[in-house]
Amino acid sequence: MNENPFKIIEPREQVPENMRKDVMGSVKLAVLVLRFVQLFVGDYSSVILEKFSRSSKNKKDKSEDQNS
Amino acid sequence: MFKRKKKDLTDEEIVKSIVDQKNHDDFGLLYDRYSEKVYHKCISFVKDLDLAQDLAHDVFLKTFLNLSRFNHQSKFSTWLYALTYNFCIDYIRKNSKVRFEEDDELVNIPQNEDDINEKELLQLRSERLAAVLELVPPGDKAILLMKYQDDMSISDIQAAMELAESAVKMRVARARAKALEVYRKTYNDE
Repeated sequence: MNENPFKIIEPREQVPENMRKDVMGSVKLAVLVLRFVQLFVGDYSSVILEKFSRSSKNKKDKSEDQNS
Repeated sequence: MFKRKKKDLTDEEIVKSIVDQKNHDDFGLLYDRYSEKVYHKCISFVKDLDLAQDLAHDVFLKTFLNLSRFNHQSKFSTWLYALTYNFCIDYIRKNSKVRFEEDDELVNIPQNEDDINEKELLQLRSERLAAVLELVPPGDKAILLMKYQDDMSISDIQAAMELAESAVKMRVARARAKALEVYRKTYNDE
């Protein structure tokens, strides 16, 4: 029986040694960028929320009324 | 309790460790398991080894960035191979000088005709098959490699391509027919 020709043409090259270093380096960089972006996005949205939140404003107003 | 070594973890457990516990270095374990397969798939599409290395790098980076979207419905390897094939297909579509005629129309090829096609395809001389695969549309090439090189079952291909079983069967049959059509056009004088 003939061997499956798709198996015969399968590449057999060795993976370049530097590829692991490149990939893991890019992954580390990607993690840094993600953390950086999350830091800004996180702060940005919480600042906006703090400024524009109605529920926290009402709470603040009530506590000020009680104190006066 | 005895703690398992990291290298004994399943792929899916490693994905959870990366996504849930933020153990990003564990991605190296997945790289070590699949770098050869991914690199070889990239070579199948671009031939140039430097370019294949660049593509494989980008596939791994994309895999890392999309890990949280892995839904554990299929095996991790199936998901990774699908991502690799789709990445290579997109690259070829955007960069190849060859204009492929890709049609999305799924014609029902009669079973007996398809059986003959499969037999004929698997009897092609390997160097001719390699030449034919360079000329079929990349989507058809990918589906043939999944079926005959990776030995993926119809349900694996279904999961990888997110298609219904009947659509996968029709696409496999169409890819076989397309490859033979190209073969006959290329070698009809012999």
